[in-house]
Amino acid sequence: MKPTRREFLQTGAIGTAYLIASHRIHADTNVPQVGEKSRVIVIRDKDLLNADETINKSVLEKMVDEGVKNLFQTATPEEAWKKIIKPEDIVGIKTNVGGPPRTPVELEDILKSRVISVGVPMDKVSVDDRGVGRNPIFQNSTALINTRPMRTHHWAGVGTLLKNYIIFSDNPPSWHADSCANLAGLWDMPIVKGKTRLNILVMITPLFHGKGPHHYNKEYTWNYQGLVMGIDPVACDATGLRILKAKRLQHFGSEQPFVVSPHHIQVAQDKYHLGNADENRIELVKLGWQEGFLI
Amino acid sequence: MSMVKLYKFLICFLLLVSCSTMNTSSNNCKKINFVFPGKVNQWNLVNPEPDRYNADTLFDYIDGNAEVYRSLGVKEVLAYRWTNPQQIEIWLDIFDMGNSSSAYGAYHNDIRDQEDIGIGVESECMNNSLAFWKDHYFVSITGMGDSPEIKQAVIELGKIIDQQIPNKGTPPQIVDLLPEKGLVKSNLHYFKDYNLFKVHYYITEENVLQLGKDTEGVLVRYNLPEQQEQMNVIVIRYPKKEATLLAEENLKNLLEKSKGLSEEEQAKLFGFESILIHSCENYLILITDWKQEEIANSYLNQIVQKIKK
Repeated sequence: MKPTRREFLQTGAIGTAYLIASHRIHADTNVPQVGEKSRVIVIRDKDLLNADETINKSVLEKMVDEGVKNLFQTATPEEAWKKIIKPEDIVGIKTNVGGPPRTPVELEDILKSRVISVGVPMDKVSVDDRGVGRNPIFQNSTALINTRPMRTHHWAGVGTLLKNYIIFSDNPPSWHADSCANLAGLWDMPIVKGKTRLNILVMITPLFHGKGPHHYNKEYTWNYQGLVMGIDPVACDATGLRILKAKRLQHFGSEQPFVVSPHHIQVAQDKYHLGNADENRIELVKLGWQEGFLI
Repeated sequence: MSMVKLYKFLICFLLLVSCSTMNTSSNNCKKINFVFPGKVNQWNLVNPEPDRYNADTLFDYIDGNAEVYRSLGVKEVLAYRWTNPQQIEIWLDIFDMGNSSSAYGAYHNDIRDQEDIGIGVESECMNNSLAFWKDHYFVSITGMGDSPEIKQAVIELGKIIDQQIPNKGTPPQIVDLLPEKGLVKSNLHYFKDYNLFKVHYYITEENVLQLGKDTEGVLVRYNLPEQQEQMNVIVIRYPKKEATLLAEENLKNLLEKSKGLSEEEQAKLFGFESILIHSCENYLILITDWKQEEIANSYLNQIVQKIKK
């Protein structure tokens, strides 16, 4: 007779056998809803990359402005930026210089200039990655803007907005267990808790598969030329993950599981209630270049 | 040359040769001073002196991924940069892993499902990158663009390194314990401590298997389509039988204790759906995620037979 899921077996064979319930973490309809749906903007532009694959900064500027305008549903980008940042804020722009690919410096410049345009003094805004732990702006920040590229990752399955705050921890490797499942816990650290006003997941040339010490192969990138923007980092990451999964299906011809499971995004919803990962909890707005949107 | 000098020379020569041909388990033999031409195809060597990193400084170079190589005992990494007139770089990294088992482990940390072009002991070549291992070296060459010219240069650089490593080295002996049938060679991972093991497989949150500096293990996927079975096999060698028994007991105790938990709690605690546990001498064998216990047991028996040989 087939054993039930709860039944433990002690067999006559030489090995001792045990059966365990089927999924470690799973979408559970009983998990409380995290507020309303999360609004996520995916904006793309076919002219973002020049022929030599450098970034056309003016196109990127338009994308950022159009993105925040639609995210905050304002008449102009300026109004949106005033909702994001106040003149009295001390603003850390958390970037990511790892990779490749890294957060484009053009995007860092644009974000910094927009923060300053709201009235924040130049000496009250800083762009940093690995130095945040000793950067006085980040140490005293009242607002954070979180931006990084999406790429597959050898510890976490995918490098995400959630993961971008790991450097705020005194001991980053301590977050690596179970494919970095508990990364959302980083967002409870006092230095970041409740401060993030905008998340931008960079999907200009996303990495959908990787190998080797640098976890990078150019052939596993493509010119998606998009940004995923939102207030909810979980929803942005979940949307980015859907795009990567769709690309992997297209490239490999069949569904290929990630070498390391990126379940930290789902855990962020189900365990930490940081945001929404389930597709039906996300209000997706698709702007700009529609060809090859994948989702 | 007098006979005494001749004998001395011969002894020194033989010592050198024997040292260089041994499959060593430590980094006490040949440390090669790699030499490169200034130009390979269109790519120029930026600096003949590479950037050098050790286990403590490797994080500065490859960030989080450094843990993989530190976990396997990396001794030194030589990082060279090549660039062409269009400023497209090739990154060439030579990892001295200290012994061939660790070099094998560094190579097999990634899934290796692409073309082997016969460089080193095992190699994988893609459009713009090449990885291989040979003796106590793991080599990774990555072009930052994507073109036939880059691929050609990457392969040329690989050959230049390959030719300078005289010995082949051998895979870790623990790999020989694995049954052949259904073994997915591309999904075979060698590990030493818990840090690396947990990247590839999740047993439970704590290091109940007591993996550490004195252990080594192999994790591999088996695919048996005819029998509609897929499973994972984990074999771990401990320094002593007592340590093996302790790890076995730890895991079994945890599983016994979990009997009182709800299904959801159990599922959160463990990273597998089914497991077969057995120790033999100083080896612990785990077969996980099987659907048909008799197949898992048959594989377990085969491994036990090989250990006892």
